[in-house]
Amino acid sequence: MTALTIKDLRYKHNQHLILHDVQLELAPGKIIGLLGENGAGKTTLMRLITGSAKGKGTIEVNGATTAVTRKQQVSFTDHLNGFNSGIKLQQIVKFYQSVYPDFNSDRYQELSTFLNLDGQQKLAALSKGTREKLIIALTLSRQVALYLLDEPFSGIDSMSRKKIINSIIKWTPDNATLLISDHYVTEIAPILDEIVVVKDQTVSVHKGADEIRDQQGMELEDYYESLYAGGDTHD
Amino acid sequence: MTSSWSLFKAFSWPRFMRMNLLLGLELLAVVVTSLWTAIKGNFTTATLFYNLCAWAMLPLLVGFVMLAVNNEKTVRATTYRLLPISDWKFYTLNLTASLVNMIYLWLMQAILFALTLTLGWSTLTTGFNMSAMFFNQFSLSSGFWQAIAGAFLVIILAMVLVWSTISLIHFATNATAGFLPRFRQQFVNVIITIVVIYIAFRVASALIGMVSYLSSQLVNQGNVSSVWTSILVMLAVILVEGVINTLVLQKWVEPTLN
Repeated sequence: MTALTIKDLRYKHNQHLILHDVQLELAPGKIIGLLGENGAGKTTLMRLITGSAKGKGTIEVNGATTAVTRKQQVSFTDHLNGFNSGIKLQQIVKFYQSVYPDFNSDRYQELSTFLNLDGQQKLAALSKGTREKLIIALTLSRQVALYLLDEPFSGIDSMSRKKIINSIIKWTPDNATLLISDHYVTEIAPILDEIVVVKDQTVSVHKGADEIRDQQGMELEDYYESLYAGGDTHD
Repeated sequence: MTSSWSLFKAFSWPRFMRMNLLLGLELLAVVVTSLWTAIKGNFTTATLFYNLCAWAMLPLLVGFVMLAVNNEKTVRATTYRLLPISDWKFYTLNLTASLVNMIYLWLMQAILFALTLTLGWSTLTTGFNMSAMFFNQFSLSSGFWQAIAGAFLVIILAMVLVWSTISLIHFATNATAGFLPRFRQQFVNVIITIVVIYIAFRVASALIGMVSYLSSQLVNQGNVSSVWTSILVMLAVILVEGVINTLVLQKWVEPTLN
């Protein structure tokens, strides 16, 4: 069984075509980089997988096809917009524990210690980086088949970013798939098994990292930049 | 799957805190105005009751609006929409949590009224003799209690109806993003809002008529069975709106990005 299968996915918003003819299959147990320019549709693709965005086509996550059952299999970096700014971190964790039966409290404790998160702090008092760390900890504390991390390291200082990236495998359950969208290709490149590039409103490239390195003799960042060679500058 | 009870608790807790904040502010207002009355030298044991009467409507109105806002924010928050629970359960639990909290607010008001009434009983006795004389005209027959129960039910259903109508406008205008370009969306959304508000006004006028009828029945000790029929009609409207809202929610309403 694949971790994720997408067939003929199409999504429009305000009559603008955002994604079309998206075909994608991801194997379980891989770490995949989701790359693309700003506004290419990376976040939209993740939202479609979670069922938050409503597109046309088939999306299957670990055998689950309906939006409700997919949500059971997917952990997505929620930006915590449902909480009051005065809420304490420990209350957010309590919320996660109560509404997600697959929430692993022990793993959260380990992650919060690793990321120096203080349960007594209020959400409004967090810096952008600490807020991102909290989001990462909450997302990875669920026990699911597919993790979607949407630009998880933005705002996090480079030291912490490297520390998190280097230990992300440790926090991902065996056989689970991790899809990370990020601008810092160089930094996440060492942990990637595959890359998926969203370009021209569709998935234009899906290749193994080793395949790019061995057959094309290029580093991931160089390969990714070569896809846009001659075009405008981009992230 | 997220259990319904867990989600109900998760939805209810922040709303419960807000309702308590409103009650706290109301109590503070009552205490401050009562102190002012005392400073002016007009304090009696009934002062708290009178001041409560003056302030009571405000938290009820604010609470109602706050819960309406809360309902809509919950539906648009990714935090909640990512939960693995069916849309109809999500919609129903969201409304139920608000309704339970609104009933809690009413109940606390009733308790506060009972407490201040007890405190000011001796001062108020004269006035109550007059009230008693007024109510004794009707004698506390089953018709009277039926009318009281009917009035409460009408209020509760009216609140749910307003909330579900707000959701209907919100969802319908949100759903147009899936079909229309931004300019046309604004145009269509204006039309949708006008149409739904017009329908809401018609329903509201029907409700006012119902309440007037109820009052006349209370005074005349007549038969209130037609009120129950109207209540059933309201219930049916809420259910129809609920089905439409759930379908639109499932097919087109997307949570906000941040």
